[in-house]
Amino acid sequence: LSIRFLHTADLQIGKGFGQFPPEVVGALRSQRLETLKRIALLARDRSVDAVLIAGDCFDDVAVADETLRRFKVALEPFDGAWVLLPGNHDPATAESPWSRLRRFSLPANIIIADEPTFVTIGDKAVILPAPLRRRRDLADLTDWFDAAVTDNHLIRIGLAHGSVPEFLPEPSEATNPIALNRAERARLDYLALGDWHGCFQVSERSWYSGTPEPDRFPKNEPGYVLDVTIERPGAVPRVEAVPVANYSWTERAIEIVPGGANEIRHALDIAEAGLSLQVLRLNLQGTIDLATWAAVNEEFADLRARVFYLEADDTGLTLEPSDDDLDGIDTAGFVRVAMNRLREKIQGPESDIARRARALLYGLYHQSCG
Amino acid sequence: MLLRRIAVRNFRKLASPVVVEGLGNGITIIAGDNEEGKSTLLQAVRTCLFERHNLGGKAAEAMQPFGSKVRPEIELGFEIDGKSYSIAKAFAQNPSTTLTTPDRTLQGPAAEERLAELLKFRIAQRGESKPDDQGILGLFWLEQGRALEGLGFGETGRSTLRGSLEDEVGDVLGGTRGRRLAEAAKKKRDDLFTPGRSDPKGRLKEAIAGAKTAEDRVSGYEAKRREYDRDVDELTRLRRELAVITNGRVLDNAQDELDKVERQVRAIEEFREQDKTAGQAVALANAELTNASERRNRRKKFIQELERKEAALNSAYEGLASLEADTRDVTDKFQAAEAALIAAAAATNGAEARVSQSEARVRRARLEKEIADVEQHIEAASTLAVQRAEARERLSGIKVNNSSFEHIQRLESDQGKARAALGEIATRMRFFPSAHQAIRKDDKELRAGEEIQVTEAARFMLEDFGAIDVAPGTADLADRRAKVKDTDETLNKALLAAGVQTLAEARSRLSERTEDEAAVKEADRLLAVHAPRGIDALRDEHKEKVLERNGLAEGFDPSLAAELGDPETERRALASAKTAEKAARDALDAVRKNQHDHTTALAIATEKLRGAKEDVGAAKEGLEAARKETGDADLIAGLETAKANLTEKEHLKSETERWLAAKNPEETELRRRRAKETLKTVKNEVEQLHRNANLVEGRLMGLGQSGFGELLDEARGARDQALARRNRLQAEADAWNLLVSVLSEAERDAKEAFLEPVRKCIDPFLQLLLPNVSVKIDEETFEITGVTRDGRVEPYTDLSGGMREQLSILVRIAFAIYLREKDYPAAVILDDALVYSDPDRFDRMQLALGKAAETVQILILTCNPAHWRQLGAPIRRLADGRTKPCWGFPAAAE
Repeated sequence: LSIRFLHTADLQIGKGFGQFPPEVVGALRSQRLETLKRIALLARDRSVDAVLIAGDCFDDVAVADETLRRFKVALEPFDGAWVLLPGNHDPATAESPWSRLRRFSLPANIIIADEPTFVTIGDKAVILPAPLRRRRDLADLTDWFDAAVTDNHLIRIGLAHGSVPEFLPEPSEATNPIALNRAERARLDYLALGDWHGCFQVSERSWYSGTPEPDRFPKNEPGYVLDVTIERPGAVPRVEAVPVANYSWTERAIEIVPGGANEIRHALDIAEAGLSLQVLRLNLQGTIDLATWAAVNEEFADLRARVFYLEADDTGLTLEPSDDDLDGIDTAGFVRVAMNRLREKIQGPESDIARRARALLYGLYHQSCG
Repeated sequence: MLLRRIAVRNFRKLASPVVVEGLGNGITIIAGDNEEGKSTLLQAVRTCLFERHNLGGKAAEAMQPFGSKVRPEIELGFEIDGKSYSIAKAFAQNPSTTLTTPDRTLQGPAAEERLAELLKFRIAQRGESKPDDQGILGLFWLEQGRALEGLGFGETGRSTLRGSLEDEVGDVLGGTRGRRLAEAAKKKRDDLFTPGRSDPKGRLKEAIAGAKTAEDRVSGYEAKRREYDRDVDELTRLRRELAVITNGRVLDNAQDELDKVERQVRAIEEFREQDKTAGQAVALANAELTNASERRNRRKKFIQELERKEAALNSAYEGLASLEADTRDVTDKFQAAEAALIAAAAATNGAEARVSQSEARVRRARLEKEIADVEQHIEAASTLAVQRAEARERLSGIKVNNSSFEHIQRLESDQGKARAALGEIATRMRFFPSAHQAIRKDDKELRAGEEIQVTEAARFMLEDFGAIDVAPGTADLADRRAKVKDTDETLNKALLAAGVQTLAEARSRLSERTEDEAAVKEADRLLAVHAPRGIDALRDEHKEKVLERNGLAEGFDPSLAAELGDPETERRALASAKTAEKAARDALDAVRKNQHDHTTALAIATEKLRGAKEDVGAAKEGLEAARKETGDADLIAGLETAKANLTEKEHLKSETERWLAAKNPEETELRRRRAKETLKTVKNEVEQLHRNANLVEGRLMGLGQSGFGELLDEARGARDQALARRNRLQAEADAWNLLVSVLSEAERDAKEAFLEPVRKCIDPFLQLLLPNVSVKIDEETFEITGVTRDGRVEPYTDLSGGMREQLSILVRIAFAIYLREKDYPAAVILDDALVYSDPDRFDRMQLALGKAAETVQILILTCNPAHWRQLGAPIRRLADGRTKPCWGFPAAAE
C-alpha cells in the first residue's frame, strides 16, 4: 500500500519578531498560524494520509495557552493523522507545550510523538520518531531506528529534528546530530527532517522540508512543504516541494554611486506584484553626493510605500559633497570654514562622527532651503 | 569731513544768532553756560544736515524758539578732502537749502541730495529723519546723557560698517544664513543634551531609558526562562525518583517487611506473658522461703542469745575473782615504789651539794690568781703615777720650749751682727806701757796690748800719766751702738723670760724639757696598760674579789675535799641522780593509777555480775515460751518445704527465659522499629515527591501559560531595536555636538577676523584708558556687549556708568577713525561728555581724545571749559559767538 503525506517543520509558532514595529509583529506572528492552516487545507485537498511535522512546531516551550489553542484550531481542516515531533525549540521536557496540549483533550488524529516508539499510519506505514527531550542533545537520537524491527509490509518513515553537520551547505546547530546515512542504515523509505529552515534534499530518501513560512532573512530556500508519495516499502519516494509561504524575506547589499539612486530598484529585481509581501532589508554602500543622497531617500520613501516592510541600512553610505554641493550651502563665511574643518576631521580619528556631523549640516541646509 | 563753522539763528533756544567759528582739525572746545544752548547747537547741526528744509508740521514748529513764529536758520561750513563746502538751511517759513561746493551752488532738494551723497546719508522720505537715516556721520555725535544708551547703530550705520569690514577682510561671517544654520544646529544639539551638554535629554534620554527598559524586560523574561528551565529539570528529577520508587516496589517491600516483623513481635509478647507469670510464682516461693527461714533464724538467735548470756555470767564471776587478787598485788607495788622515790630524791640532793662545792672550789682558786694579778697592776700603776707626777713637776719649772729657744737663737744672732757692725767702725786702742803702768777704764784695768774698742767717749786712766779721753768720731757710730744696745736688751728680755741666762743654758733646758715630756708620755702609755680604768677602779676590783673569795672559803665543807671531783664530773652524777628520781616518780604514778583502776574495775565487775544474773533469767523464760508455741523440729520442716517449692518455680521461670532469649526480642523490636521507620520514610518521600512534583508542575503550567517564551523572543528583538536606536541617537548626538563645536569655533574665529580692523583702532585708546581690558563687540549690531578683564567676561550692562560712558566714547571714536580711513565723513561731537568719570579716568580719557584728535576732528561741548584746558585745545565760547554781527543768510530761493 502506498502512502502520501506532507512533510513540514520549523513552524516556530509564537515567534516574537520583536525587531519589527508592532504592526509588523502582529502580522508576521499570525501569518505563521495562517500558513499552518494553509498546510492543513492543502493536506485535505490533496487527500494525504498524514502530515508529519519534523520538530519545532513552537518557537519556545513557554508559548501562551492561547497560542496552543490557536495551533490546535489551525490543524482542524485536516482530519487525517498529524504526527508532531518535539524539536529543539519545543523539546518534550517534563513540562512542555506537548504536556499542556494533551490537557486540551486532543482529537485522536493528533499524535504527539514525544516517545521513541512506533507510530503507525493505518496499515500503510510506521513512523519512527526521534523526539528531543532537551534543547541540545549530543547523542544521535535516531540510533534506535537501525535496530527497530517493523513489519515488512509497512513503509518505514523516520521523523527527526537535528543537523547533518557534514552535509548541510552551512553549519547548522552543532548539537542534535543526525547521521548522514541514517536512512540507509535504518532501511528507512523516507527520513523526514527538521531544523534546517531551507528546503533541502540530503539524500535520495532524506529531506529537510524547511520552514513553510520564512522567519528571517534567509540564505537558503524556505517557504515550502514537501508532498511525499511512497508507493511501497523500498520504493524511492516522490517528493514535490509546494510553496506555501505568504511573505518573502529579501536582503540585498547594494552599491550606490553618485547619480545612481535608481540602482536600488535594479538591484532588487522583484516584480511589482511581488513587492507588497516583501519583508525587505537593504544595505546600501558607496560614496555619494548630496543630490544622490536626496534621490536615495526618495527611493526609500517610494519603496517603503510598496513593500510590506522595509529596513534600510544606510550606515555604509558615505556622503561626500561635491564642490557644487559646498557652494550651494555657502561660498564664504564661517559655515564654509566649518565644513572644511569637518572634511579634515573625516580624515582623522573622529571620522565617523565627523561624517555624520557633515551630513547633519547638509540636512540643516536643506531644511533651511525648504 | 571737518566742521569749520556753525551759525544758528531762530532755532529753538538759540533765538539770537550764534556763530561758532575757527573749529580746528583736532579738538575744539565749545564752551557755554548751562541753558546757553550747547545741546541746541548740536541739534542744529543734525537738523541742518539731515532734515529736509521743507519739513513741516510739528517738527518744523518745534525748531522755532518757544512762542515765536520766526524762521529757523542754520549754516554750516565744512571741508572735505581740503575743499570747502557750506550748507545753509532755513525751516518753517520760506524754507530753503543752499549748498555751496567748490564748483557750484545748489539749491533746494538738489542741494540736499548732493549733500546726502557727499556725507553718505539718506534723506528721510517723510517726516523727521530717523537715526537710521543719518548714516554713519550722526553716530559720532553724542548728545548729553546718551552715552549710557549704547552706540545705537541703525541699519544704515551697521551696513556701512559691515560693508567696510567685508571689503577689508571678506565675508567671513557668512551672513544670516550661516547664523541660522549655527543656531539651528545648536537647537538640535540642545534638544538632545541639557545645558552644559552633560546629560542627555529629549529623544536621546528616551532612547537610553528605552534601551534600559528593553534590556530589563529581556532580563526579566530571561530570569523566567532560567526559572522555567530549573523547574523543568526539577520536575524531571522528581518524576525520575518517583519512578525509581514505583518501579522498584520500594513502598510494598517496606510494608511486607513490617508485617513480617509485627507477627514475630506478637509471638514474643505471648511468651513474655508466660515468663511474667513464672516470675511471679518464683517471687511468691521466695517470699515463703524467706518467711520460714526468718522464723528458724529467730529461734536460733534466741538459743544463741541464752548461751551467750550464760557465758557472760560465768565470765563475770571469773573476772571479779581475778580482780580481787590483782588488787592486793598492786598495793604491795605501791609501797615499794614510794620507798624507791624517797631514796632517789635523797641521792639527788647529795649530788646537787657536791656540784656546788666542786664549782666553789674551782672559783676560789681562780679568784686567788686574779687577786694577785690585780695587786701587781696596782703596784706598777702606782709607781708609774709617781714617776709621771715628778716629770710633770720638772716640766712646770722649765720655761724654754722650742719656740722660745729658736727666738733666743735669732736674737743672739742679731746681737752678734750688731756688735760686729759696731766693731767695724769702733776705735781700736791698745796700750803698751813701758813700765807696766796700770791702765784703767771705768775702774777696770786693761791688759797690755789688749785691744779695746772704743765706741763712745771714754776715759782711760793711765798710771803715771793721768787720763786720756777718747771720743770716736764716726758718723753712724751712735746708731750702731744703739742697735747693739737694742739687741742686747731684747736678748736679755728673752733670756729672762725663758728663765735662763745664756743660749747654752737655754739649749740645756730645752733638752731637759724634751726628756721629761718623753717620760710623761711613756708613763701614760704604761698606765693605760696596767690601769685602763684608773687605779681606783683596780682597787675596787681587788676588793670585790677578796670579798667573794672569803665568802667561798666560809661555805666550803672540808669533809668533801678529799673525794670531791671536778664540777663536770659532779654535774654528770647529778644528772644521773635526777634521772633515777624521775624514773622512781613515774613508777610510783603508774602504780598509783593501776591501783585506782583496779578499784574501779572491781566495782564495775560486781555490778556486771548482778546484771548477767538477771539477763540469763529473762532469756530462759522467753525461749521456753516460744518453744511452747512451735517446736524447733516444726520450724526446720517448714523451711525445707519452702526451699523445694522455690526450686520448682525457678525451674519453670528459667525455661521461659531460655525460650525468649532464643527468640531475641530486642533484635525483633529493633527490626520492627526499623521497618516502621522505613515504611514511614518511604511514604513521606513518595508524598513529598508527589507534592513537590505537583508544585513544580503547577508552577511550570503557570509560567508556560503566560507565554513568556513568545514574549522573550519579542523582547529580545525589541531590545535589539532599542539598543540600535540608542546607539544611532547617541551617534547623532555626538555628531550634533561635534557640528556645534566646529561651527562655534569657526564662527568665533570668523568674528575675531571680522572685527579685527575695528579692534586695531580701539585697542590703542583702550590701552590708554584701561590697560589689560579688551572690549567685546557684537559683530552684527556692533554694540558693546561687554569687556574681558583678567580673563573674565563682564557684561556691558553690569559695568559702572562711568566706564560705560568712557567705552561708548572710545568705541565711537574708534569707529570714526576706522571709517575716516575708508573716506567716510567722520567728526566726533561730544556734548557734556565724561560727567561720570573720576579724575583719573577723566585724565586718561583726555589722553585718549588727544590721541584720537590726531586723526579725527572732535568738538567738545561743555559748560566747564577749565576741565578741558589741559588738552591745549582752542576754546570757542558761545557767548563770543553772539557778539558777532548777524550774517547774511541767503534768502529763500523757493
